[in-house]
Amino acid sequence: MTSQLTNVLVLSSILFGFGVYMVIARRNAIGVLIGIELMLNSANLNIVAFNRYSEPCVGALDGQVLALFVMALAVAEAAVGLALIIALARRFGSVEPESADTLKG
Amino acid sequence: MSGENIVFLLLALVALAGAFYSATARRVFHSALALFVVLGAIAGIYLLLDAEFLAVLQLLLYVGGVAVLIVFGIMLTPVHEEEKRGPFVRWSYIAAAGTVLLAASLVYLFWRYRLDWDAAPPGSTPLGPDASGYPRLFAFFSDLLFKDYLVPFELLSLALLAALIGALVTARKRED
Repeated sequence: MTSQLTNVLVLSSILFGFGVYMVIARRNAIGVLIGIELMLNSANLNIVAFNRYSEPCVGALDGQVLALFVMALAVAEAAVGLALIIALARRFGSVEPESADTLKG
Repeated sequence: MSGENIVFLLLALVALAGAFYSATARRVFHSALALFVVLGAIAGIYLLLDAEFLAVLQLLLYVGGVAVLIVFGIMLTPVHEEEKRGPFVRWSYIAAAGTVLLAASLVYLFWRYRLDWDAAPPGSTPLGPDASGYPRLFAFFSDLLFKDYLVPFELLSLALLAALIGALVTARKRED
């Protein structure tokens, strides 16, 4: 059995791949936002795992604090992103990022 | 195989199945529900990594907060066109191939260097209760958060306020 750290890292890279796929391939902007949340969570998983398995002394929890910051900013990003999507839907009548092409020549 | 490994394997399977369904579901709502399953499984993995506080926060912020936000977002936006044209962009299989390549190379790298990280170092986190029964994890955590990282913490509250006001202004109905 490999170490738990490697298992977590492998899991989080696969989750990250799913997130990237959703961001690229989803037509609906809310689907893109879900993909971003997935990517942020897999990165957070990495941070916590590295903190757990490279802690130099008792109580060095800097990685967990960093993960907390990432989590709070991700929530703020989700709120602003959904507000933008709602404004987009109101302005263009569609939630597809492709529909906002007013600047297209 | 220890019990911890078995629990981790179960949680990882749940997370991977949820992520797969989330990425491939035709309806955004199903995709969102699968995302919440993934987030719950990740909270479980935080528990395994001795980050109890983060596990609770994950459940509160994501499964409680972001879930409600996303469901409201789906409720407030139209989805008619998607049902005509399918949920994915035209060349989505190229995206699938590219992301499989990306994930495979990441997995390969982490797998290749696995020997360097085999054992947990002496300081690793299990912080039980102290003499008065108060969990020491929270003592260490709040010491860090409110001493070493006080300025970033205050900036974070400012960022949250800015996000709140920005979201309100952006989503407001215009009178014109």
